[in-house]
Amino acid sequence: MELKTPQDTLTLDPVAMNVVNRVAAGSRLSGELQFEGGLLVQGEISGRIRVNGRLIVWTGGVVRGRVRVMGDLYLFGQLGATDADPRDTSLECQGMAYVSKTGVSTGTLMARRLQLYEGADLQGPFKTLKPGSKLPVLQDVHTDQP
Amino acid sequence: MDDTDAFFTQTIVGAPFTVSLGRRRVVPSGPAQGLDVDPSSGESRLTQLWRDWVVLSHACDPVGRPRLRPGPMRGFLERHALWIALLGLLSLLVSVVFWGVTRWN
Repeated sequence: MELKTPQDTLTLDPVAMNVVNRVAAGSRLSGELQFEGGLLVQGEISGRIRVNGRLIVWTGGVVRGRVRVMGDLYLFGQLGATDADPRDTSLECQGMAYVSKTGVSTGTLMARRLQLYEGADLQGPFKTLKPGSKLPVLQDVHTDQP
Repeated sequence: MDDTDAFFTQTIVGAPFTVSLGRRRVVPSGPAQGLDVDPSSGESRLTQLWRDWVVLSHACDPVGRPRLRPGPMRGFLERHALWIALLGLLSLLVSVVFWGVTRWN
């Protein structure tokens, strides 16, 4: 007999979770974006994105580009374009990444911890972030002066 | 977040709601390992993991030198292990009873 784990539910309380930003369905944002507080994505965002809070990618929502999330990630929608190269999209999550049964990731996902749910589609690679580790950015690279 | 912020957050982002994430994906536990007995034929054999272990446990043995068989003393002890264990338990029991009676008197 196969044991089934119980279904997990998530209560999204925008006020309690400080999710104060929203990209509505049908909207598209592109470029260098920074969000103070959590972000609910129901439309499409792409570019260099920094979210100082939680990121919730809703069903139908798409996130592409270079993304850094300082809180948890809840993926109900899509990370990366369909059939795109995993290097085109990378997301660094400093918290826990939850990939739900409807979540699809074709990009590179990096997170401290990962929770996958049955039906989650992880097509791109996943990397565990160690405490204190950060992705190198241009300012962090020091070249030796001659 | 003050009342105004909370009002606008609820107006724009939405009211609290609950959504299903799904069933947690857990690492499946492997099948039991050990002696595999076929109930129909009665034949028994080691499972793959143990067969690998039998081979790999001798991987570091020196080449060309036969492994030493257990000596006669070890053979005797292994054959009579149950009786030796029983003797040990009986000795313990007798000792406890003896010292108990001694202390009582």
